Amino acid sequence: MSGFSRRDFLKVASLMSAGAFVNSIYPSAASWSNQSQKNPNILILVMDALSARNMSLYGYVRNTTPNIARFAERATVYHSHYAGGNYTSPGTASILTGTYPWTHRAINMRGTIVQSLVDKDLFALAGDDYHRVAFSQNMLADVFLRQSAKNIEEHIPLDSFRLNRHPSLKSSWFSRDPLASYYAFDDSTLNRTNTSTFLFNFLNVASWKSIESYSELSPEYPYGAPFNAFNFFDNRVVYDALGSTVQDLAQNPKPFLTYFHLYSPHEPFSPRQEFVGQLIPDIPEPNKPFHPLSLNHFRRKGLMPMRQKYDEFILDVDDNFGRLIDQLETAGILENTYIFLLSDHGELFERGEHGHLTPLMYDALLHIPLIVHEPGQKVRRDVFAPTSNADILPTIARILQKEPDSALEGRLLPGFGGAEDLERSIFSIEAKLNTARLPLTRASISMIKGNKKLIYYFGYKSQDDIFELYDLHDDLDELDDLFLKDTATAKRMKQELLDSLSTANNKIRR
Amino acid sequence: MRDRLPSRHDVVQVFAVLWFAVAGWTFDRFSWQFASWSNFLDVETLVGILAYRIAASLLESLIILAFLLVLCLIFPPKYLKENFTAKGTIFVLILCGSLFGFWNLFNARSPGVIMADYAALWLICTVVIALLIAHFSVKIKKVSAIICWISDRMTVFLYLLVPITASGFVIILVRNIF
Repeated sequence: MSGFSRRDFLKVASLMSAGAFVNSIYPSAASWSNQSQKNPNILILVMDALSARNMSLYGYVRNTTPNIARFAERATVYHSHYAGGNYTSPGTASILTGTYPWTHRAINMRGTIVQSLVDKDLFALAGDDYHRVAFSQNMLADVFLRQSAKNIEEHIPLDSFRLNRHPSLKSSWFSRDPLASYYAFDDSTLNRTNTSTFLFNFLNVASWKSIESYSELSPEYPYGAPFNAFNFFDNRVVYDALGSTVQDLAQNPKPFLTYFHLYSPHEPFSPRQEFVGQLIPDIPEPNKPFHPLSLNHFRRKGLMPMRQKYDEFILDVDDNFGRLIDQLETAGILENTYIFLLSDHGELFERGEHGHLTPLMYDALLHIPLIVHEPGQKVRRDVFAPTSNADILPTIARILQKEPDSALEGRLLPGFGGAEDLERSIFSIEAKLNTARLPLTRASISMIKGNKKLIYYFGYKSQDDIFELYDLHDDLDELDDLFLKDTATAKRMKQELLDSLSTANNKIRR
Repeated sequence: MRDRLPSRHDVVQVFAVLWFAVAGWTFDRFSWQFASWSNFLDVETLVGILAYRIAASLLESLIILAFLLVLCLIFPPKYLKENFTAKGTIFVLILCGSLFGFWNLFNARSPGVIMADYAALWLICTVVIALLIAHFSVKIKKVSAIICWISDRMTVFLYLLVPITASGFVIILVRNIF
């Protein structure tokens, strides 16, 4: 027994539960092998809070993503891909609906997508032709999966593959009412940090083992095991379980569409020991001034070690991704599967800010990876035209040979029927202080057009009606504000941004 | 066994105070979060959330009351059963306050999550202290009279809470059946 630790048991148990889960879906899966004739599968893998700025694939000096780079050698790499917003709710909703936040309205913390778009989301689009499986480790994204419950055949619970013994979500008791029960229990009544009860919350806290109690993991996780605010988890277990799930799904005669939203490398940054200290310890970084809307005022000296941990965590995630891809390749799944690797938003370590809950809209927060592997693709393609997460849904609609809603704001990705339009305008919106049902009155909007980026801050007490203009080609660090220097571009872009905002606000007014 | 339990009238008075405290906290937190939820949730979902939370507050109140009655069975009548309205009211209020304090300490930066390891000790200490305070404070006649007066007045809220909670249960059933 000494050779079989608790950790080993947890790993095996998680894999077994994943296997049992899939077996329950396909009781006779083994007899259904008919891979070659069915439509291609689609696997969407969202790595939460992964900034392209910190990926060696996109030119970062630290070698953080060797395995993703290996995968990219047989995929299309989008070099100017942007999130719909700067945190999970707006960023993820743009992926699922093909629209910008001012349309899908998932702009608030724990916010929801407007119902008319839920009925036309990614899962609804795929329809019964596809076996639709979804899993999110981020509660903000899981809310959208709960909203789309009728369009998803298998919604793998958020607390699957956890290390802690007790399930953390009480709303799972009310599977027929996933949304209201989530807000009633997991978001409040039984939320450890936001209670509304005396005894239940005491019992909830009492059942919670302190982080120090996970000491058996500490040699491997010097900063503690990865944690998503509800559960502790081990990325090796999570990735292995999802790999097994995909392999089982591939046995089904029906093609699959899977949406996996994985929490890492989101904070808290928890790389395994083997990745700690593996990257260049110090890298040159311009000292950027605090922004007036910076909420934290972290000093650069404090931000750099945080970024080091973030980079090490990316390296850890990259290692797991490499194993997943190897697993899928060995099983022959890459030959008949589109794989979309992307993120919902980035992460910032500059101008006094750390994280992504900020009104700021700088490149590290919005510039995210997009790497798309087509079935059987052997050579790499590079696309430099700006693209958005809102483009994912129309592109998948094209792959599925379905007609997407004409009101979508996303376009077909270049390489999948879309043109490389260098002058296209790409929007990202941060508006969590607004009411989802009313026009935006206090928000930050970024508009990228060609090499230029215009940021508009409005409605904030200290920053109302403020514009910043940057040249992303010559000044990627966004230090030289051109708004008062390149007045012709500023005027043109300002007008377009204000017109677009006005159109979006008018739709809400109607 | 029945000899060790307080009268139904006394139990109802203590329960009224307890439920008022728990439900009051529930409504307070709901109204606090309502400001955020109303930004994006529809009325139907908001009503559903309130229904779950009211039902949870009733359940929580019943569990705490049951715990108090079990203590009545364990201890000799002079410790809890006699003057139960005053003693029980003091006990449940101290218990709720202590559980709330524990949660606050858990969420504090320090000592934080380590508190989870001391939950059982915290609860035992709370029960002992609450029993002692309840037992000795009612010896002061004025304190006892004031507590009993408050408990008696609180029963009026049962006329409000009972129909609201019943409606909540109906809403929960409808949402989970249809």
